[in-house]
Amino acid sequence: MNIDGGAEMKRKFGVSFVITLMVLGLGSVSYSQGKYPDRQIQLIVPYGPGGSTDLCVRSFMGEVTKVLKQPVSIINRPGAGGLTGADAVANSKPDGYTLLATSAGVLTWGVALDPKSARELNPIAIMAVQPVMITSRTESEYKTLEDVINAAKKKPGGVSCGSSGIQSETYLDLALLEAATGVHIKHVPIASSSEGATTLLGGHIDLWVGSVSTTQNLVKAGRLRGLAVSSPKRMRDFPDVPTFAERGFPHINVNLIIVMMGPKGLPPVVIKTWEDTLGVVLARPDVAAALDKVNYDVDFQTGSERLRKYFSDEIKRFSILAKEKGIIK
Amino acid sequence: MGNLGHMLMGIVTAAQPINLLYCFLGSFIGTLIGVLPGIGPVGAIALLLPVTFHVPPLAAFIMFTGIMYGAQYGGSTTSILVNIPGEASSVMTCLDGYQMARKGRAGPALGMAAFASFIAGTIGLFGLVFLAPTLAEFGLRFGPPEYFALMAFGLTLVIYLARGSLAKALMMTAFGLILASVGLDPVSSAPRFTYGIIDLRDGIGLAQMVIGLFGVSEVLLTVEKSFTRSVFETKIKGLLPNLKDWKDSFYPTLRASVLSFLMGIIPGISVVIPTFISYSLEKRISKHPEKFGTGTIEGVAAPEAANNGACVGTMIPLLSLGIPTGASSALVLGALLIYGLHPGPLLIRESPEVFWGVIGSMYIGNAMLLLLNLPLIGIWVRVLKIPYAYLFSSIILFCLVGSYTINNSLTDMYVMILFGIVGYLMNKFDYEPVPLILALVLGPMMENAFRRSMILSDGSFLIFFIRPISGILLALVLFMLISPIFTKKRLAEEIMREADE
Repeated sequence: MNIDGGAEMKRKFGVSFVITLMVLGLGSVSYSQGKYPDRQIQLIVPYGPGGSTDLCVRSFMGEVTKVLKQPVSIINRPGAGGLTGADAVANSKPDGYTLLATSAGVLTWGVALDPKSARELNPIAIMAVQPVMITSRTESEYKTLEDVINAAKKKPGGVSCGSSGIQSETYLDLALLEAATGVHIKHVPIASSSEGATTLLGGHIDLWVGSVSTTQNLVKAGRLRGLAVSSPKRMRDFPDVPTFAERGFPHINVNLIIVMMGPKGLPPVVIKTWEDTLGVVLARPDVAAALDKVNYDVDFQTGSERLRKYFSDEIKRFSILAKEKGIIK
Repeated sequence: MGNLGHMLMGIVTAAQPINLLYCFLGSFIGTLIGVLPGIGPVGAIALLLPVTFHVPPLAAFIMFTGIMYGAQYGGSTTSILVNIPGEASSVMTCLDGYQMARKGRAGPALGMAAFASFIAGTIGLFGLVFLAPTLAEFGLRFGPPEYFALMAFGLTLVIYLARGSLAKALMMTAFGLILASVGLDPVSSAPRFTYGIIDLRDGIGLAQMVIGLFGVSEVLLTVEKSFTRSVFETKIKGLLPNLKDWKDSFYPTLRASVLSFLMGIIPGISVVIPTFISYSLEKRISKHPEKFGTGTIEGVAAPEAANNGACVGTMIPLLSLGIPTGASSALVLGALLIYGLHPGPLLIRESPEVFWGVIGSMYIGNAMLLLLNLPLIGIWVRVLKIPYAYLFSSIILFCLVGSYTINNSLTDMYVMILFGIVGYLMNKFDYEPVPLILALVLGPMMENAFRRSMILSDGSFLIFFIRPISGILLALVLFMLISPIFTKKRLAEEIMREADE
C-alpha cells in the first residue's frame, strides 16, 4: 500500500471522516416534538423470548403497532428475575419511547422480599392475566383442596408441593394457603415449571402450584387434577376446578398479571395514548382469541394512580406474609 | 394403519412444495444463526413468529424445525472451522473438529458432522414414532434423586475426558463447580458471589463463557505465534469423509444416536450433556483413546450424533405429555400453541394428521439440512483460506456481537472477554477447559437435584440408595471412582507423566 499518498490521501480520509460523522450524527438529530408516537417505541420484556410473558405480549403487539401507526419493537432483556429489564426502563428517558411489559410479581412480591429492588416505575395499564392453579396427580389421594389441608394438618410437612421458587409470585398462593389454614406444607422449589410438572407426574412430589399454562394440557387429558384456581370466577376451560374464593379463601388470589409500565415522569399524553390504544385493541375478540391461545385472559385496567396504590397495597400485604413465614426479618 | 404408515403419511404431507420451501428457508436461516455465536434459534424464532401468522401452520412449523436443525449444524460449522462453539452443545465438536481442520481435513469433519446428525435424527425419529409413550413414562421416573445420581455419574466422566494431568483436570472441575455456584441459591434465593451486580444473579452464562474460553482464547493463542497459520494452508485433502472415516465413525455414530436419544427423553437433561457423555464413552472404549483431541473423526461424529439425537429425544415429553423440557422444545411448544395446537396426550387423539405432519416435518427438516449443507462444505472450507490477519478480527467481532446478543447485555460481553483471557492463560499453563465446562453444566443441576432430594427426604441420604434407578447409578459412580485408582495402567500413566514434566 502506498503510504506516501500524501495530500490526496489525507483529503480523501478527511472527507470520508466527515461524512461518517454526519451519518452518525443523523442518528442523534433531535426528534420533532410532534404527535406521540412519531417513531419506533421500544417495549422491553424482562424475560427470555418464548417465555410466558413474552408470548403474551407478542401475541397482540402487532395489532397495537397497526393502531399506533408506529412500530412497537419488543426487546428481550432477561435477567435477575425481571429486574435487569425493569432497571433498563426505570433509568431511561421518560419520553414514552422506552416502556416495560412485565409480570407484576417482580414489582410486588419481589419488592416485599427485597425492598432494595423497588424501582421508580409508572404503571400504565394492566393488560392480561393468567390464574394460578394447584394440581395433584389424578390417581393420588388428594382429590380436593380439603384433602390436602386435612392431610397436612395430620402430618405437618407430610404433603409436598412444588413451585417455581420462593421468589416467584405463584408461590404466594401456596404461602397464603398455609397462612390461612395454619398448616405446614413441604415446599420443593423447582425453577422450571415444566420440570415441576414432570416431577409431579412422576410421583416425586404430591402437588404443584403454578400458572395454569404449564399443567393445563395434563389436566385436560386427565393425568392431573386441578384442586383450586386463583381466579375470581371458575375458568371457562376448567369448570370443575373450584376457585380458592369458593372454598373460603377469597384472598388467595395471586395471578400472573401482565402490566405495562414506564419510567417515572411520563408525560400524560403518553399514558393517555396507551390507555386508548390498549383499550381499543384489547376489546377485540380476535385479540382475545390470540391471547387465549397463549393462556392469557384479557384484563384491561387503567388509572396510573389507582394501579400504583394497588401494587403498593400488594407489597404491604406480601411483606406481612413474608415476615410471618420468616422469609424476611 | 400402523405407526409406520402414519409416519410415512406425515412425511408425504410435510413434503408438499410449500412446506419444502419454508423448510429450506428455515434451514438456511438456522444455519446462519448457528454460525453466528451467541444468537440462538430461540431469539430468531421469536422474531419470526409474527411473520408466520399469515402462513399455513404446518409450513411455519416446518420452518421452525429447519431453523432448529440449521442452528445446530451451523454451530458445528464454526466449531470445526474456528474453534468457536456456536451452541454449548457444539463444544465437544471443537475438540477434534478443529484439530481436523488444522490438518486440512475440515471437509470430512463438516461432512461427517452433517451425516452423523442426519443419522441420529433419523434413528431418533423412528424411536419417537414407535416408542414415544413408553419412553415418556420411563422419563417420568427420574425424580430429584435420580437426577443427582445421573449428574454425579456425568462428573466422574471427567476422569476419562482428561487428556493430561488428572489432578489439573480435577482442579478445573472444582473451579467449574465454584463458578456454577455464582447466582441465586436455588432454595433460599439468597445471592451468592454476585457482589451486588444484578446481572450475576442468574449466574455466569455458559454460552458467553464457552465463546470466550474456546473462540477468543484460540485467537489470542494463534495470533501470539504469528499472523499466518501455515498449518491451515496445507492442501485441503478431499471434501467429504472417505471410506476409512465411515468405518471409524459407524459404530460411534450409532451408539451416540441411541444413547443421546434415550438421555434426551429425561426431562431437563438438555442437549449438552449427552454430547459430553457420548464423547467420553467413545474415548473410553476406543482402541486409541490418546488420539481423541488430536483430530479423530469419531470425536466429531459422536458429539454431532449426540446433539441431534438428544434434540429429537427432548421432543418425546413434549409431544406425548405436552411438557417442554428444554429451550428447543419450549420453542416448539410456543410455536404449536400459537397455531392453536396443543401438544400432549390429546393431540394425537384429536388431530392425528397434525401430529404426524409435525413428526414428518421434523424428518424433512433433518433431511433438508443434509442436502443444504453438503454442497456448502466447499465454500466453508474456503473460509479457512482467508489470510488469518483478516479472519481473526472478524472472529473476534463475531464473538463480541454474539455474546452481546444472547441477552442484549453488555455484562455477557465482559464475561466472554474475561474468559477469553482465562482460556488463554489456562492453555499456557496446561489446564483443560472441558472439565471446567462439564462442571459448569452439571454443577447447578446436581446441586438443585441434591437440595430437592434433601427436602423430600427430610435430610436423609438414604433416599439416593433405596430408589432403584439412583441406587444403580450411584453404584456405577462409586465403581468408576474406585476402579481407576486401582488400575495399574492409569497409575503407570500418571507416574510416566510426572516423570516427563
